[in-house]
Amino acid sequence: MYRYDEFDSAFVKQRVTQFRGQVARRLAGELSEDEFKPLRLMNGLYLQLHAYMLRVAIPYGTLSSRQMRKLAHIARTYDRGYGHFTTRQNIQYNWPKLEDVPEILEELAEVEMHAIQTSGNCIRNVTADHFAGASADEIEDPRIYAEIIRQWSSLHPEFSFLPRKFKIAITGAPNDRAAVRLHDIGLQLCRNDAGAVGFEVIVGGGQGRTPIIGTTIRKFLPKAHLLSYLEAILRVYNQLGRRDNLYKARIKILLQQTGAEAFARQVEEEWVHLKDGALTLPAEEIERIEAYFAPPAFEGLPPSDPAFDVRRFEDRDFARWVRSNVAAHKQSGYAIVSISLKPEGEAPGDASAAQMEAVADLAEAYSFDEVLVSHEQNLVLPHVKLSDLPKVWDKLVAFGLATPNIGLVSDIIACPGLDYCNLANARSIPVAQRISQRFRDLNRQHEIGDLKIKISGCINACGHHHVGHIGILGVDKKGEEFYQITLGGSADENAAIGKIVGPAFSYDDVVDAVDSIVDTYLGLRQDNEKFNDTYARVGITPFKEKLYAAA
Amino acid sequence: MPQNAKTPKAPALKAVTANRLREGDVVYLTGSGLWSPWLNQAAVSDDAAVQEALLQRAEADVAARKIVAPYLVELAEVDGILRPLSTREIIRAAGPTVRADYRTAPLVA
Ligand code: HEM
Ligand code: SF4
Repeated sequence: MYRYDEFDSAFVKQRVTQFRGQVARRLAGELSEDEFKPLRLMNGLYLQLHAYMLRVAIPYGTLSSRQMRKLAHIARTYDRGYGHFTTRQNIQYNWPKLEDVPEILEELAEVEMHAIQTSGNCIRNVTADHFAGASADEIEDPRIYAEIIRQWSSLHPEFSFLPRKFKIAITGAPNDRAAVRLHDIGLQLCRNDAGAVGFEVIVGGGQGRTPIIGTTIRKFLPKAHLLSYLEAILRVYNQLGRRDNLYKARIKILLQQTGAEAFARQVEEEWVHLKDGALTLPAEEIERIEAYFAPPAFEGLPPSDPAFDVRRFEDRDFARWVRSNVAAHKQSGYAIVSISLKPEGEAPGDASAAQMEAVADLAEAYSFDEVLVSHEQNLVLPHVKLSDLPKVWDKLVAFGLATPNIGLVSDIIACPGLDYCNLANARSIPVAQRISQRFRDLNRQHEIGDLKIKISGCINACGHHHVGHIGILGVDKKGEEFYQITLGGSADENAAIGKIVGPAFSYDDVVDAVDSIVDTYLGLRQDNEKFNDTYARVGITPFKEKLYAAA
Repeated sequence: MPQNAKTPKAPALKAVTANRLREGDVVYLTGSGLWSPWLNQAAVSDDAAVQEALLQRAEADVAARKIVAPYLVELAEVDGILRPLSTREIIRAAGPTVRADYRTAPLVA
């Protein structure tokens, strides 16, 4: 796995020392809050509703057990014993003290971690498929390119002060688990007719108050040109992007105003000057980075394992967990385990220090020391032998980490909302908690099947509500929390923005509304039709009629 | 979650809230000029001039590096208990509603 190089190490240490000085000067009164705020934000430190909040980057969502243990240690020592994994493959600590933050950053640096690029109008921490390096449908490991982009974009002088924050996501598989059509730039590894591997380049996707599905501006970009082409996109954006209006400063707005074709043309024109220049990636450089992500030493194993099969046959709980939480691995005899951070009634994405340590132990013993963080606020053990699955499951059960609900109705994405966030209109997490309690019957959840509910506490859409099959948006009606529901959104390769079903529901009524929508779906679905397919077939009306009939 | 308190007839009762600079904790300005985590200890007034004076005092403590980001919060007093009018401020005063052990300062001690 990747270890950051000497340059990174020296740089991060220097940043920690610098920030320690800045905090000392702030506490001594030599810096005012106005002077200090941009400095703390550059180090991932926000002031939220209750306290400071520290956002720590987990580049492309990949952690070693040593790093996971450090995250647990920080939660226990400097916070309230838990951390919150987010949709951006970061971890947030909700209660750090300002005076402790330099110490926390120093501890993070010991395990090659930091909070850089988690805030500000820079190219943010690049996100990637959470099954990277493991999934059966992968063409190449997307983290190789995420890392190449990270090295190029980190602190790139030209791109540290963009018109707005800039988010890049990358997937190596045709089944998009990284929501690449909903980022400023999305990259999808693909093959051209000649069988060469390159990127489909998607630009101008985004959520927030103007949700837009990205547009493909290049069907195939050879790998060698990745950086020169990205730089061309960023230059066009940097020159033309609006800085006068925060909400219009995103590349998605520029693309809408310029038109995708004209934008693509301008990128190509800019690219002419950059192509084949210093940014060209030689094959050796790609190989060098590829070596960081070399597959672990898999054993040659048969595709099935008797002990695993027996347990699955005898233990229905285990079998049910396997059905929802275990996915196909590219290596025979191995599997991908998703660890649900959505137990009934708990806050999606929260993990206690003890849970983080349990996951670290499992990764060390059974998954080549690797853990991945998913944008759906779960964790992943990417490389587990089939024969080890029963042991892994037993330990997960002991730590409350074995809820068999991945992809199901209670596997909800929820932003921090009004419980933590300064910008919120309404709470998100308790709505998720109440929905998971309403659907507490796990067998019923399995009968309902794949269903993605996503909740945001305001239009910034940190909880991805626009792309939930059922999306829930918190709105403020005369000081009361209300929730607007959208249907039919999707973040995968069939990306779609959900449609508003009708008037918003109160905090008390929103769970009943979700229940009603699920009932309508179950009543109308044919065979094993997915929610969005039923919705596409029958339209919004039947859902509406049932929802508002009683009112 | 309790319902929001009824909006009283104007003018509203207000107190000053802020975060401690060093720790980040939510605090309220008390009559003796200290900062308390307990909303019920806050100095309150429905007089705009007095409210402005409270805010001035808070600004002095910003300069003295005790607190950051002070502002006035609207309250209602019911049976001797101060309660913010908005859900946001109720949660800010009492802590996240997501789990009992994440609570910071119950409104009613
Ligand atoms: C609690 C503190 C947070 C604050 C103040 C905050 C603020 C914001 C703001 C202002 C935007 C809108 C940006 C724009 O439209 O230009 C945004 C977007 C977003 N945030 Fe957050 N956020 C917070 C937490 C989170 C968390 C915890 C996550 C992950 C779960 C997250 C993930 C995102 C995502 C995915 C977007 C959408 C990006 C887009 O517009 O395409 N945020 N956030
Ligand atoms: S969506 Fe709104 S409420 Fe939720 S975390 Fe983002 S800014 Fe806060």
